[in-house]
Amino acid sequence: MKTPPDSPDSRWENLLRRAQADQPPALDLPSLQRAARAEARRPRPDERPASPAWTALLPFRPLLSTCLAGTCAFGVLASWQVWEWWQVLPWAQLLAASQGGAP
Amino acid sequence: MLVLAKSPAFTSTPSRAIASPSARSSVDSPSSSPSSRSDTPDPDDSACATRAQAGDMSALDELVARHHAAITRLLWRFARSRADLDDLVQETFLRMVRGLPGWRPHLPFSHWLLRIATNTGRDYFRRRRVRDRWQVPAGSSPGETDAPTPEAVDPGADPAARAASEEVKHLLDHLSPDERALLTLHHLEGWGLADIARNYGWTLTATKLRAWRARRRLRALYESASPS
Repeated sequence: MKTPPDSPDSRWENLLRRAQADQPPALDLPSLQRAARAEARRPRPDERPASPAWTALLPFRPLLSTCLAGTCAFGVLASWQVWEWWQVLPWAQLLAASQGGAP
Repeated sequence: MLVLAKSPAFTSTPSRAIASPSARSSVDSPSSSPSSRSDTPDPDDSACATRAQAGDMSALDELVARHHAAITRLLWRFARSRADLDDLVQETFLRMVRGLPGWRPHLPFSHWLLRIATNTGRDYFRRRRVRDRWQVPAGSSPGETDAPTPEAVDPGADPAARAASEEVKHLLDHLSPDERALLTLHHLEGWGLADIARNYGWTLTATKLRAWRARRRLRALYESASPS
């Protein structure tokens, strides 16, 4: 079905078509090139996340991964121990009962 | 009213009829969409960029000269004034210089630069949104009698096209920065949603959803702005 010529759709399409034909003003190329050159000549700041002293003292990435690994290992060991004790405790009660009970 | 909701101009393929290359005979310059360009790196661009990486200033000049027209044209869709356009283009090339050590020759340089430009445009929208949020509306203070004189609009080569462009930009002003960037690229530059998704690192589904929401809001704005 064809869109009626005076509908909002056709007006919108016309508006877009005209807007797409809009051309930008010309820019000053030499000044752009000068700005790019000046930026290229500018000394680069140290992009490390912290000051060099801190970085030397504490290498953050290895430290972070070590902490994560330690936390995971601790979690696994702690869970395992709790599970073990939970298994053992009834046996400990039975043992205590067989020896006359706890004092 | 209901016709608009299902009309081709506002549904999922609005710019197919409007901005597809075949339907853009009235548009002089070609689309800057990444899909309209080759995926293989341009050897001249790559050679230039490699030399510029090594510190060759003439190669840097050449890169700016080769790409400034396309970047200016793209960023003109985002900018609201000539001064803003100057700033955006300059910022794009400054970002290019800063990011040049990270560019890899197997990537098409033009795509990489296009991504920098579109991100610069989106950042501009975000800055404007923040500024507009905190700006006191003209005439709200007791001592203020006259609104500030608006910046003179350069009529350009085609005043009708300039006026239409201003009208579309004014409508898009009411959307969020991401939606504005999306619809600016989609409606004014004729980019496909897949290109936009790839460019901004969004998923295609999220981009389609965002486009649908943005178009719905734009439709409401357009209807309220234009008496039928």
